[in-house]
Amino acid sequence: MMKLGNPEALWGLAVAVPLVWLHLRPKRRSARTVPALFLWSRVPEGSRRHAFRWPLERPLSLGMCLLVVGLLAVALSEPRFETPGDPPTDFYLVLDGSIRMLGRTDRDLPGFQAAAEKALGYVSAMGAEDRAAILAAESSPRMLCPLTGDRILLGKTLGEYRPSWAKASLEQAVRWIRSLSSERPRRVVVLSDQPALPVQSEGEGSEVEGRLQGLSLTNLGPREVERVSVGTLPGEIVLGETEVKRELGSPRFSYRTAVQNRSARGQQLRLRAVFQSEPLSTLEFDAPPGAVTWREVEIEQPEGGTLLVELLSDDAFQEDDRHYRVVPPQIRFRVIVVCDEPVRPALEALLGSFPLAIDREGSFSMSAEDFVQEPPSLGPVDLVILDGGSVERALPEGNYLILGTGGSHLPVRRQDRLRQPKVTVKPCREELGKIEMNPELWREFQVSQGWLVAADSDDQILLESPLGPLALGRSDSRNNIVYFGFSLEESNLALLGAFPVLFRGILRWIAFQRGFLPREDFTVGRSLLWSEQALPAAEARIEGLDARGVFGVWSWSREESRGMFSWTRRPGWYRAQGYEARTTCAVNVETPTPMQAPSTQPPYEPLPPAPRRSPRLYDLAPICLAVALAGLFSEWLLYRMGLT
Amino acid sequence: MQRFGKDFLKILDYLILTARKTSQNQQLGERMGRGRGSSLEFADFRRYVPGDELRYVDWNVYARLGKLFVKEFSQEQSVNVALLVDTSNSMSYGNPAKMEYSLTLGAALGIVGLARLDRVQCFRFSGHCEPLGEPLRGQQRTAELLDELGSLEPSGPTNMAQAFRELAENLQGKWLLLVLSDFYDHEHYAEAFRVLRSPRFQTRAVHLIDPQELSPLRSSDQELVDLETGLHLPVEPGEATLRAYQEKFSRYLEDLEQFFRRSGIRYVKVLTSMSLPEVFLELLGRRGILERR
Repeated sequence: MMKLGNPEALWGLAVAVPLVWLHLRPKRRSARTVPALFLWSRVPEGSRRHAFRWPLERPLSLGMCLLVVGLLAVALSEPRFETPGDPPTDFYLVLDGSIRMLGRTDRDLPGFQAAAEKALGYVSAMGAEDRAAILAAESSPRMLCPLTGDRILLGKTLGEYRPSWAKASLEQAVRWIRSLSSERPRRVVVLSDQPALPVQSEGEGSEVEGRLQGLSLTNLGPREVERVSVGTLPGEIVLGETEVKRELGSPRFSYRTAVQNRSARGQQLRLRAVFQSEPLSTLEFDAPPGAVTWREVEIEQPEGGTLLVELLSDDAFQEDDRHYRVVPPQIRFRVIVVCDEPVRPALEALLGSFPLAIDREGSFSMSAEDFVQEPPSLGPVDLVILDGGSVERALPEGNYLILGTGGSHLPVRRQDRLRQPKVTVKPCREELGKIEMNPELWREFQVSQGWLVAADSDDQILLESPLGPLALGRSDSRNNIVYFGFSLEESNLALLGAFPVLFRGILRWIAFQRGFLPREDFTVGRSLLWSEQALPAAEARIEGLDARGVFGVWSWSREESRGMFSWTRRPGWYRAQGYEARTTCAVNVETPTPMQAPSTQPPYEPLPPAPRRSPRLYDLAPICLAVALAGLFSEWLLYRMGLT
Repeated sequence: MQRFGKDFLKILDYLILTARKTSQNQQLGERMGRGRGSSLEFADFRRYVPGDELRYVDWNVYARLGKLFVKEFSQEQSVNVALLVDTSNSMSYGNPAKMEYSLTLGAALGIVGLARLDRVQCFRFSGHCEPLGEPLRGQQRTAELLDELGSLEPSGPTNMAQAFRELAENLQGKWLLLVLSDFYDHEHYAEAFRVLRSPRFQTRAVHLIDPQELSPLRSSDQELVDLETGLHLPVEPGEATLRAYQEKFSRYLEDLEQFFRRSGIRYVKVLTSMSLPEVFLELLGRRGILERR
């Protein structure tokens, strides 16, 4: 069964029509006038053999031209013969993303380059309709390049990829590929240097086949720490900043971290470095309540690979040193609306329409006077919606959403009457001031930390933003008060539409601040998609900033410019809740060897049989053209030489 | 027809058409005849015989010798010049066309004749021979001569025998015949010039040849068309054909030259690529068609 890759090229056969017409057209001899004929000798018709004439007048020449045209057209149409048992195939190239692949092979070539060469061999052997996808088996499978037949894109992706992860989830990647539905047959090629692959080759025709063998970790070269990822700790143990230092060319490096015990009792902590399940060094120390201690572990690791630095509390000191998991507690939100008539019914109706996980039975409303005289007992995640104009006393510890703090109702004016809380951003500014950065980096830092981009200080945010409604979130750790400002009355339609998102973000942020949610779960940026029609710019801004936890939406004017006020995390301490305590320090093995051009020879074992491909006549096109030109040139040359 | 420059016209002033004295008529001209006439140029003395005019008696000689001698003066005569221009279609060949070149050449020769007070009459011939006008005489008739020649257009095939027969029948007296032609009448040219082999005629043949005729450019043309007859001739384009043509043409030229030499006709070949002064000074002078005055 022959198929054409480029059937449009067959239109080139239309060139044959004018050629045949030129051949069949009535011949008109070219005539020349002379003064007299008697000096010229008549030549019989049959003896005229060597005249130079239009080549197409000869049937042989016409046939040759038609043959060349036909071959060219057919060749340009890229025909190939396919058998029914050779359908287009999807290749899934799984690259080992662990930094073990940075090690050099016996050929003095980094493992990832050898893997890229091998993968390029597969790509080059693909058929015209075959496709390939490239996956990186990192800590979790990651799609580097989706299924495509673009060999250039595939080659570029292979050339740019550098492994940098602690471990490779090859098995997970293969499992993921197997879960994909596809009408085409698939071939999964795992390219790894692991001596024992988690997936076994299943031979020709099976899903998983191919293995990169012969790699070993030798000649590691200079190394430096590239990535330090910090995990979470159980209980009330807080892991602070971490430093990893290592000199180039030296197998020794130090891991230094700050630890604070915020629990009421003292704990014994253990800091342990592990390489390939083998403990390298262990440091045990006592952590008194509230104290911050810096601990440093000296590690000597000559080989490249992944170092795991674990921080374990005495709760986890089991005999088998297994880490335990903490199930996050069920969060029960209560909303107490403190406001007077006639706002209260409308606000209650508004809150009732929110599809949020609010404990409605525990929520209630009360007047400002009752709230001042006899405040209810508030739980750690209870939220008090407070009309700023109706309360004139110090607020107890709790979470507050203060309405009417935007627009003309500036919160500073409100705070004169409220007295408490006093809105201040001083702690954060002090922390930011410790960091020496140039203005550009300072600005980036503001963005990454979720500060208002165009503001010089938070005081200006609060005091000098009279043009639009303001939503602001802030945590006063000293008084343990979380409060927000928002003006429903001053908000435009877009902001009103975004209010449910704001409200949900407030609840979740409260849960985070109060220690009920791990940081990983605290993402509400995508939630703003709910109002993406109203705030496309805000949504884009969220994606661009990689901002998480958008608590409020701020706008300088109602029609023109809108901004985003996001606050993802604060510099300083992380508060962790649940999940295993593990800190991973990945030792990156850098190699100064540039990417080498892929060799045509397979590095370690022959390539698997490529899909059968018929010889393409496309390759014959230049030859046909050259033959035709040579024929015409020789005829012209013979004529010029007088031999015809 | 080309325009003549002043320098060329000065050259023409010094030239004269060569003619035998026997062919000169008695009309007054600028040529010295054999007889004695009444020109101002002294020729000889002779003894006085009764009847001579006494005004020609040289009295000085009589005083010295005591005998009467009479002075005789040279006779000034002219020549009847017939300019025969071939107007067959073959004369339209070439660049410039041979016809145009022959008219220019004929006009120059006619001017030479008129300047010498010869009687110049133009004839055209192809299949027949026709006079273009009355005989002209004197430089004041130069414009008429040019008008007559300028009106000529090539037409018809060549039949020199017929044309020259008609010419010989119509011409009276002695004539100097200047034939300007390409002589593409290989079957009849011998017969034609045989007709002109008469004591009354002195014939000069000027053969006009285009360089393309000597060495035609090679082309891929497969047919040749005769300019005069319109006949088609299939040929084999190529070097061999050209070589055969050149051989035939050179042989034809040799035959012509030999024929004219045998016939006593002065013959000259003129390439149309040559300039007129060159033609006049070099070729015509050497071939005896023109001479210095």
